[in-house]
Amino acid sequence: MHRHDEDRIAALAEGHLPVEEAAAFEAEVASCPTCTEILSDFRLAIDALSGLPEPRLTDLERAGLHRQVRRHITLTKRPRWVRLVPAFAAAAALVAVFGVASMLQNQGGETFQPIGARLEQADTTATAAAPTTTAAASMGAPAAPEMATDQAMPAITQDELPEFVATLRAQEKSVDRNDVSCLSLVEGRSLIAAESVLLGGRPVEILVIDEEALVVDPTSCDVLISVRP
Amino acid sequence: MTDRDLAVRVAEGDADAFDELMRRHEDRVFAICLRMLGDRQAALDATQDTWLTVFRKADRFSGASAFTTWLHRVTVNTCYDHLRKRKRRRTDPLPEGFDPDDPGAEGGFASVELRPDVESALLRLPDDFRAAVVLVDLQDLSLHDAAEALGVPTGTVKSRLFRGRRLLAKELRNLREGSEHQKDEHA
Repeated sequence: MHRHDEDRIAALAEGHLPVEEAAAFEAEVASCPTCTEILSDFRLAIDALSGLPEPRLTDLERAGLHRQVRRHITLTKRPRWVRLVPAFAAAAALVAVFGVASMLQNQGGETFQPIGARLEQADTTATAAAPTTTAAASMGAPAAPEMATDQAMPAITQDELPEFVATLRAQEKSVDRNDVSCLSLVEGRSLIAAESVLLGGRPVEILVIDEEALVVDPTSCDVLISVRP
Repeated sequence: MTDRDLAVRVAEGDADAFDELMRRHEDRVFAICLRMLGDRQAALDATQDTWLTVFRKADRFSGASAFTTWLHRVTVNTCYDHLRKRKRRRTDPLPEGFDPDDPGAEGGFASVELRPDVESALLRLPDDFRAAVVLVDLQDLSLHDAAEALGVPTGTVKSRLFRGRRLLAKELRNLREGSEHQKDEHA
């Protein structure tokens, strides 16, 4: 059976072969019906696409786009230091907890509590974004990317996972694929929802796909659990 | 000032740098969105979303690749999101005879002034094939750059491109045959 070389046929159709080589190869292609068909398809597609005009924004559309984008970024614009406030708050909370614990131990240690419990206390007193960081620290888990700078992640248990997935699936919440750490896992599949959560204290990413949901480690992209309805 | 320099400034919250980046590349982003979505209003929405993402996530641009590669990636991902939403909406029951995504529907291609057949054929391709064809054959990206933008290996882009071209050719022939058949009937 004739083995057709699509790469070379593509190069011929794109006009990338030197003239002499192109002539010789075209003669070779002519002796192979499949190759001839591929070459004809490639040429038809390339010619058709090359005749398309480059779309441009009209002046009105451009002005509208600028206005809308400007309006949104004015609403969401935050200086870099503001975005780091949750991280500073979490760090400050940890320092405060260790300081207080140390003082209590020096006073006789009657009210001493395990480190986890002390961190949980800090959890309740830190800023809105701080619990995520503190909770993760208490479990000794690796911090998820940007965890300190973005809003807090919901914390769920493994028992709550199926219901949480069902809720995500039903929400029709917009998925920003740029936020997904392990996009390669859903390659070619429709991503319905994605959420970063603390599962039993461990930061994970839940990717809800057509027939299942994958719970993945956002750092290694290892699939930890597959949830099927 | 280079795109990379501007992106660094955007990450620091510099709105003027953002305006300049947008001015340089907004037509390119819009062109990709329009080719991917086939509808001018949807393309404008996706263009807007793309630039908002660029503003919010400029600090994630590492500078390891060209800014345009990252921008293409953000753009294509935004288009995929819009396509996914459109498909989900399509599962809802619609009034009889209503087909908003019919590529031949009037108003669907306000932009496609000269070659509606090509635009129609392009929109009939599977999304992944269309993305490869749009980036390589329309935006003139190399296979390597398209692979980076799509987050897949180069071989995958090549395969999608070749299959996309062949499907496009078949769609074009079908559309032209259909058009000639209609002319014959009217004659």
